[in-house]
Amino acid sequence: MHAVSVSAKLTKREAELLDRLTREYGFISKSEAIRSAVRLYLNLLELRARDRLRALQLINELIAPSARMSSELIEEAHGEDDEL
Amino acid sequence: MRLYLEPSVLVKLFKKEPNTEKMIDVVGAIDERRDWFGCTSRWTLLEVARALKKDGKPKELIELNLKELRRHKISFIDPKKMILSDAEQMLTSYNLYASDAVHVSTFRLADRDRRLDAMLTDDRHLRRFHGILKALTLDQISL
Repeated sequence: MHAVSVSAKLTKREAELLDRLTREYGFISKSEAIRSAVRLYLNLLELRARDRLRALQLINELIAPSARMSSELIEEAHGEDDEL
Repeated sequence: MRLYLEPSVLVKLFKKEPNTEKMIDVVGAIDERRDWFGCTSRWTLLEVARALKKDGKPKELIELNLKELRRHKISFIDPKKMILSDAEQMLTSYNLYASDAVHVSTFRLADRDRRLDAMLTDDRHLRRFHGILKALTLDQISL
């Protein structure tokens, strides 16, 4: 299998998080953890359009859940624009 | 169905609330069916980004959501000078937010060139567009 090496710069916080999660999830190395993350991300982006939207909606809800409605958020943003 | 997509219905794609599944189906229909067409102003991307920011979504997720929006067959119309001039006149005639006026003017331009059926919006905004253009909510759409 032909392999390509990719390097990435991480912030201190990201590097610490990577260290911790590599240990907690039992990845054999940080490289392996990164490889898994990249594959997972690419798999998400390769899903069929509707499935991708559903998965992304779920990710949005899990990472930043909110009870605020879309219409309310847009209305508030409109109000801000008018105040400028 | 040929629709102008107002930002509040597009934000639904990234939230769990009533009609979010239906909005996914609308975008799916725009992607897959020749009898469906969807457009919006390029300004909408900024409004969606701001709404998601206000909703507490992190930068990377907002960027991913916007990239996702651009991946579909939704046409993004540039806010040209002609649209902004028309929006300016709308503001003097109707009680609209500046952003709403840009959407109404963009809708009118798109309608002239591409014969739209309606603007797809939410209940809250529907009232504001009443008497200015034909607006529909997701409840009024059948797929």
